Amino acid sequence: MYEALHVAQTGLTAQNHRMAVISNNLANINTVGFKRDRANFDTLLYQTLKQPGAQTAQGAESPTGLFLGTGVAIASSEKLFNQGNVINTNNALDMAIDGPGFFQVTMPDGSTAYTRNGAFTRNQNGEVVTSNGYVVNPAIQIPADAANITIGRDGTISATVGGDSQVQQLGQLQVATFPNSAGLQPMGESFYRETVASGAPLQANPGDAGAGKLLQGSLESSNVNVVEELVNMIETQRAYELNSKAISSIDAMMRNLTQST
Amino acid sequence: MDKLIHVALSSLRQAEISQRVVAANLANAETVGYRADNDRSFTSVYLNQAGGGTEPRVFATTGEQTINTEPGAVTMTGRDLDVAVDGDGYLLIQTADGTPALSRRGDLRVSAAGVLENASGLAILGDGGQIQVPPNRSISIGSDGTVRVTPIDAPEDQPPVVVGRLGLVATPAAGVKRRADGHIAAADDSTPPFDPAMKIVAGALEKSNVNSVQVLTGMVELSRMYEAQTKLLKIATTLDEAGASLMRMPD
Repeated sequence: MYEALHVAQTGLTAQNHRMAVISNNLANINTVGFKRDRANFDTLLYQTLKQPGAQTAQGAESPTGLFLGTGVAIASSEKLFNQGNVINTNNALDMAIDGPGFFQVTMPDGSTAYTRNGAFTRNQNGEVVTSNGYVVNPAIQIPADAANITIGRDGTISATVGGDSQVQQLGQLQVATFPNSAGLQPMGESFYRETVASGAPLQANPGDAGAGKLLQGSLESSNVNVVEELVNMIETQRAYELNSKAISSIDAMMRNLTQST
Repeated sequence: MDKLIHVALSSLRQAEISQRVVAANLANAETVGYRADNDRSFTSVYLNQAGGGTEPRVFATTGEQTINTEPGAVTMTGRDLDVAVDGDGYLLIQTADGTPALSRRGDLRVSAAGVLENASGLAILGDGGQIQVPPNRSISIGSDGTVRVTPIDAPEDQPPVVVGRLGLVATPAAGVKRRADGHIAAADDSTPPFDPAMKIVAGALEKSNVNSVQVLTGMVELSRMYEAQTKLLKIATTLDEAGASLMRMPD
């Protein structure tokens, strides 16, 4: 009886974890470039109560045996990298990637992080930086007196500088793609880190085969679908209720045993 | 003392085991592709007194495991690597000890080593063993289970290449059973052959087949049965006390 209680408890823990994943998705519904997570469940080990093949009588064997499940566990939580909606902002340094690529950002510790959040600005040196102030890689300097900044679909940044009517090319943005982007490790602030599972990044110019196109003046919104998350939330809540119902039912049985005899 | 109390005890034990199966099914109500265990695996043992006595006893004891093979609800997810087996069949997977097993779990992914596996980390077996997926720009799974990828270095106009086909098998004629490691296998331990007629639905997932209404009513029923058996314990005690008081020497 006590085992049954613990089995039901694993269900509560798993649903609780899933609810945390759903809440995180909903909390980030307006986070630019956010990719939603999904919690994957897995059954726990089975316990052998009756071995298959055990003799039940002379010449007769138990054909299937009896195994009792011990509950459920969270197997993994997984990022789903499908494309979010592209929103037009008309801000010159806002960029969205239409395709599978990632922007590369040099973190303060010198390492490279990857992001889908293309809300960029300039810092005091004129470098293109993320909204947290981290420099976008490859570093591109935009002079203070630059006007009419244009970013091509292939990542070329050009502008007119100092009232000159001639357009100058200021740099070339690159994006990184991964053999298995689901294996990237999320590290907060919309950044991802390369892992063994993701594979090594491949740099490419936007517009190259498989890299995705760059859209200037646009941002990629999160790919969270509210309706889907709400349905998942209801489902999770019901599963939670069922498991707590199991706990109260088992408790009632134990109470009955200890009090009525 | 009467043996009635032991008969009640055997039933109480079975109710406890059943309640555990119920709890495990409920805990996995949201596990993708989970197949519920039937929670009533009781059988009876009839003990007759030698020489045809008048005290037959029927004890409840543990029976055989069976799995509920009803299909679970299918939900559309739109993810490229989510597949739901369409109809009465299974995906062939490689378990941790290397043996093949059957699974309805379709939330697939590509491992760090480039092997197609499910979210439990078990490789999917295809027509040529494990399915190796090269670094790619896009991956798709056709309704017959064919996995196609566009390799990452392929030119833009190259059509996707086939890297393998999911091992789809029909439900074995002998039926299926639960193995000691919790996986589903053919009842006769054979590995079913690939069935080219089996289909999958891509971009969809099959949830567990735990029927919550059925499970809840079953749980209530078990609770009541348990109460009835504890009542029997009480009655057996009263009977025994009555018998003992008759035997008592008068003061």
